[in-house]
Amino acid sequence: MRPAELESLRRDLERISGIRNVALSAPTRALYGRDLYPKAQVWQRRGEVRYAPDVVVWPGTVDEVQRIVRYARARHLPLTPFGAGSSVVAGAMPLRAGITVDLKRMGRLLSVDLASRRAVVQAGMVGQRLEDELMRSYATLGHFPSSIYCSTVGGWVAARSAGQLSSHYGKIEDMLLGLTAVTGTGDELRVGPERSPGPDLLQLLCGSEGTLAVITDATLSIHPLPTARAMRGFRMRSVAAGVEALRLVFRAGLRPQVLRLYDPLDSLSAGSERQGREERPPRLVAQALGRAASKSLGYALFSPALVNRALDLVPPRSLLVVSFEGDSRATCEEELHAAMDILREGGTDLGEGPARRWYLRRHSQSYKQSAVFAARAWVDTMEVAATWDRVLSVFEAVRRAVYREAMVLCHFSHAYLEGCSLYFTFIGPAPTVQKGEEDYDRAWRAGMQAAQEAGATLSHHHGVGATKARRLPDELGDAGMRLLRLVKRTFDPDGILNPGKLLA
Amino acid sequence: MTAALDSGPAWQATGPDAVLTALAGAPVGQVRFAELPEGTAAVVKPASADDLQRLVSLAQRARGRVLVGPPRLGFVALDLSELDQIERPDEKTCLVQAGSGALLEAVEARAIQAGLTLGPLLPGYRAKRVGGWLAGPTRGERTIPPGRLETAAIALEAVLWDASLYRSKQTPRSATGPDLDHLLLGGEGRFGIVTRATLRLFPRALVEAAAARSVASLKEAIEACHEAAKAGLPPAEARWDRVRGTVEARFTGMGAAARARRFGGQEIGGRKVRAHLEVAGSWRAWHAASPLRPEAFELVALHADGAFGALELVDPAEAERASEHARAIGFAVVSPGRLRPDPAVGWTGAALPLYRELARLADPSGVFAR
Repeated sequence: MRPAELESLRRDLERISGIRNVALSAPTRALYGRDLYPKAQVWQRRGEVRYAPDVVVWPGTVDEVQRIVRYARARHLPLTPFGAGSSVVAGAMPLRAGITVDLKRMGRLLSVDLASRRAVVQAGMVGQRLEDELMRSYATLGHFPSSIYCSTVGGWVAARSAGQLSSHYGKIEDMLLGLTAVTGTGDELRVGPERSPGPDLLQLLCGSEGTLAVITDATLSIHPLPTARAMRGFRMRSVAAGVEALRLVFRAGLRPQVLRLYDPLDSLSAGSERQGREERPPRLVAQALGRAASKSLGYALFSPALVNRALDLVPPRSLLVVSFEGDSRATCEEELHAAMDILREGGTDLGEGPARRWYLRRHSQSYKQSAVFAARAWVDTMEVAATWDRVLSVFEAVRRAVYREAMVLCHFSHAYLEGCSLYFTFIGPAPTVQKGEEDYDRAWRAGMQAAQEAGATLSHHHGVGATKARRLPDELGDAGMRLLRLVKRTFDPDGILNPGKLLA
Repeated sequence: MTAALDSGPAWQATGPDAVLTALAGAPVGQVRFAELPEGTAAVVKPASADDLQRLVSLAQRARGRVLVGPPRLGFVALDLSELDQIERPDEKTCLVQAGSGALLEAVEARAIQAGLTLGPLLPGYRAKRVGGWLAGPTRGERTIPPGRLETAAIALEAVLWDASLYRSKQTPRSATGPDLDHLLLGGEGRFGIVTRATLRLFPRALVEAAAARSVASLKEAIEACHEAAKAGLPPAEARWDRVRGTVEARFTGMGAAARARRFGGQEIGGRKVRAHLEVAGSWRAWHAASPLRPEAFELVALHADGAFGALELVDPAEAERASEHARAIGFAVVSPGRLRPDPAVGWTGAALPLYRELARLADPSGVFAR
């Protein structure tokens, strides 16, 4: 865009949102040119700005959002909605420049209705702030993604987010009762919170990743703040025994807040504890894996295949963490004991320690990526889901596919009666940036393809964004893609909203 | 295809009484949309999704129109009862695949053999078919622990307006864009015709408990149900009976006994009744339900915001009046009468025009009857 055009753009947007709420400076544009997509972090370390919006604007009202969208539409300018930039699939990156609309000025909790168990929240509210404010009313949303400090309600709804307690409270789409959004034509629409018969428009807008409309607020179901908790850690004999235990706990009608199983390598990373003492893996393996978490990560990862093979030396024990929360200690204990009867069949009771430790560290993993990149390595995660009959084949298929490129860790969480999510972490060496990127791309492609071929869905809760868009046709099929394009054309006829995402 | 159309004398007949069901085993190619005389209603029974695809393709070329449901003049009505295959329920995943023509009662019977169940259903739905249940106004929703609503369909197969076959992936949850199944669920065939579904089942009452609480009025009964739902302990179903003066709640799954104890009262057995008015509504609507003068109610899919329910009326002739009144106080009336998904509640602003535009684009040649 030419300087004169940029100047005109700035002036026009300032008229809508005010002089203090529009920015075109190079640092701001660079900052909004990336999200938590791992490759974007590598580019940033190199001082490379591959994508940047022409302008960033912070609207304060729905009316301002409408006027900005209409303005962008009239000028055929791409518009990227932005919450807190925590997408790991390049969902918030302005691939075609244009206007980035940061919704954080619309970041208030509008109402809490404890009698109806509902809260109305503006889209730009950061997750932890929402929980803090709900806590004042002795309520909780029950949605605790590990990105809770750097993600917003609008982003959660747009990407079909899942929190760590989803086995009990559900994913964000299960909590969503209503929303307000501005379509690609600048029209405002409201759905819910009263339930209408017929098609559920909420479920069309939820997961639309900013490509159909800019979500401006959401009505969400809330719950009384739990006052009691009962928890336990188990060492399961094997991944298979652990997966079967997850299934049986759900089959028994139990819905714990936390139910997570870590594969042997991820168990070491998560750490287990018995009555306060660390459980130690064999020394050599522990050293190698210890390095993997230290600054000498690049050295430890000189051969991911070797590290993966070392995994075979680790006793195939998997850590399982279970926790029930509620308003009565007795009820939590009763439910926990029912779960323990099932878990003892496939594992050994480790006491409360591992679960307590998990609670303490539950939000810390997401913030360790920078250290990995600094250690000349790369890290990324891939979260898929499958029905119980396919979970183990997906696990094995992905491990086999990525064996040579990266160290593969996996945990199983977000369980349902029909199946669960598999959350893979890949850590690979990057002796040079180019080699790192090549290996990263190869590992990602191989992992994704293996998961889909084994029957898993493309994404459980990170969304599609730009990085998975090319694989979406394999997920939806030709007819599904046609339906998706039709929905897009209806809500955003000029295709200005978040181009390059979902529909590559 | 076991029954099809021909251009024989039957075409000349008019009215739904003259439904064309001759020519058992005739090929789909004999359905001549272009020759369908004015004033003729016809019924076609596709035997497979493939049959239906060919039929829709023919309809599209001949500017014909099809509908799912009772025959109407000038349309080809689809009778999907031949699509009634039910696979063996999978005990491990608690899933079953069923054709849209399968009766829910038959699905339930197969589920029970595997120790599973579809869960509580509104009385009017027990005799319905899978397709009607999912494409109908309630979208096949039920309550799952701990009080969330969820559709029974985990994956769908459907024929779209362009005769293509849509198949969604069988996965417990996903984040792969908008949930396109929700165009078909509750869509009443506007966006496509469901031919097959994978349904979620529940383990069949490993533990079941029921409790009955004495209540003095309908108001008090609703209050008891609302309180249980608010506490995150909704029963799988609840039934109030004016004559007995009780509200009975049935709980299933682990902890059912404890939940029943918290609900209060004594353990009891239950009974099913014929319902005359089936509604879906918020708790606000339920609290205002007294003027409907029900003799009893039965609630399923209780959740924090409301419930589906069947109201038993003293006089069946009262149904129409009660139905109008129910709408006035905010209920969506499921039965009697078809619900239209042009909602008076829930959608405002651009939502309704967008939905209509979407429906128009989804079926540009108007193959599927509105």
